[in-house]
Amino acid sequence: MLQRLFASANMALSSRDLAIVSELYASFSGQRDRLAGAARPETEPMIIPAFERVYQERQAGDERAS
Amino acid sequence: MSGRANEVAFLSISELVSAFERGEVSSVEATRDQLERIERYDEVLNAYITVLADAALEQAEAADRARAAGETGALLGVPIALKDLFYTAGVRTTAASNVLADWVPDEDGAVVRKLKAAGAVTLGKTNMMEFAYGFPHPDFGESHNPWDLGRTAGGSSGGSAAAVAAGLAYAGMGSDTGGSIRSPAAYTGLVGLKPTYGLVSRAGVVPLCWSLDHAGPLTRTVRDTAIILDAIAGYDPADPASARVETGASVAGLDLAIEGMKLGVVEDLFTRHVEHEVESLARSAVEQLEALGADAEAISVPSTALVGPAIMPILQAEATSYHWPTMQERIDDYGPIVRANLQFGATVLAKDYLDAQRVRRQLHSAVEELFERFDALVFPTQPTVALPMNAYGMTEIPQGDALDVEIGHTGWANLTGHPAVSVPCGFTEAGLPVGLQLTGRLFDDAMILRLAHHYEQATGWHTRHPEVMV
Repeated sequence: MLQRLFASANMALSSRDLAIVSELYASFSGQRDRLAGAARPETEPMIIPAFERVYQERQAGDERAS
Repeated sequence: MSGRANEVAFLSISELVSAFERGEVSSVEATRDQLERIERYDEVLNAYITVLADAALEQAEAADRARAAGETGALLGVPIALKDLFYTAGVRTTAASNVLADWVPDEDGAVVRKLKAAGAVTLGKTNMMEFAYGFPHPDFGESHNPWDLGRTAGGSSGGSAAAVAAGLAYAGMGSDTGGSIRSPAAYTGLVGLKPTYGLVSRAGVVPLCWSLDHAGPLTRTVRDTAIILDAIAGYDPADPASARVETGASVAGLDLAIEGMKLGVVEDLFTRHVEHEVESLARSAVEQLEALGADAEAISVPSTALVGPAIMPILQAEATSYHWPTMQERIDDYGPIVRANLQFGATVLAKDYLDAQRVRRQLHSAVEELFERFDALVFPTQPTVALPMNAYGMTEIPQGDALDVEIGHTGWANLTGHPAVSVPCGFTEAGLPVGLQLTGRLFDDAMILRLAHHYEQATGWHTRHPEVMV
């Protein structure tokens, strides 16, 4: 399947490439499982970081407190 | 080399500018000295990819003329180095890859423009891991650590670190996606700052991973980092992540008191994979901060174990997305390890990427809660000292858990966006530097610099410099 994916993008995936990618994929299986187990159903992904909004909300809160 | 020349080479930026103002040395003299040192030492350090001798001397002459005409500035005439992923107009920008070996940008990146506007002299472009992915391209090689030439200067900003640590630049610019400023800073006895996400523009920086990339400085003192930060911070519409926040107060805040500041000592990161000497030096640093008036409290943050699993799918997927068109055309121009990682990135499922971004939000929320109780979080920058050169060889592919060790301490702040600085906290018995990491509230970079500055001034680790043998 991986070779078909790369072929569809006009990229040759040699047998050595395929072996390395397969090995890497296997080596991250434990991390993938931990990740899937940790992601809580109610959490939305942080695709676009909105740290500025967090900062502004805290600033507004501090001003109200003072 | 004369003793005086050595003294000039290792001045801090603020000391160098004071020497300019007193007429003890000119920018041309300091720049020429740095170029001579590059000529002498870079053969063994491999810190620079491109040296800009003529342009640097022209910039230094202009700085000296400006000073003579009454201009002042915290960076006026100061020679610095740029990691070779910052766009430089008319100067090739390789990202240490054969993919960009002959690429010459038309214009400077935002940070480069700001540094030049402040009067900095650009000595050259420094070596790095290929495309900042954490692994060197065999044709460019790794930068050697000035404290032990048999060890790496780290990555991915290893060239900037080696140059500044060895006195071949007064500051170096780097980028940090999972620790690429802070790790080499810790390995080479420097101060390295990953600013708050959005504080410093990444426009005109070759990207690795848009949602984790940061630009920042490596310097020999905390004050120098604050000087650079004040020069480069600020809103830039050309960077979609750039924030509209007040900037410019980092230097002014350095000497404010730290008595009563609350430190969360993250115990998990004092023990997970951490070498005994690293742990011991970092604990001594916390005791020193307490002696200076800070209140330290040990805390456990078990979710730090999720940093590696969360950061890797984001990095892998975004990097492959960026490189995909080039992979179609020129896959053989990538080094073997980056090639394999980029191909592997195509296997990251959308589900894995979104799981990672969800855990990222959980980690962010957990850190925000900690900052309701603490002013800064403290732990070793890296669990180990600098690794031996070619720890992975140039072709061996590091896999899941090995990467987890390297990125677990530094990647946390990339995921959450909080500012983090590495400051030297001592040397092992073998004479290798160790760094302490301080993480602060969003856009309060000045706070962690203040803590780091007080610690640095009380300990004096920054006054030690390596003797590079040629």
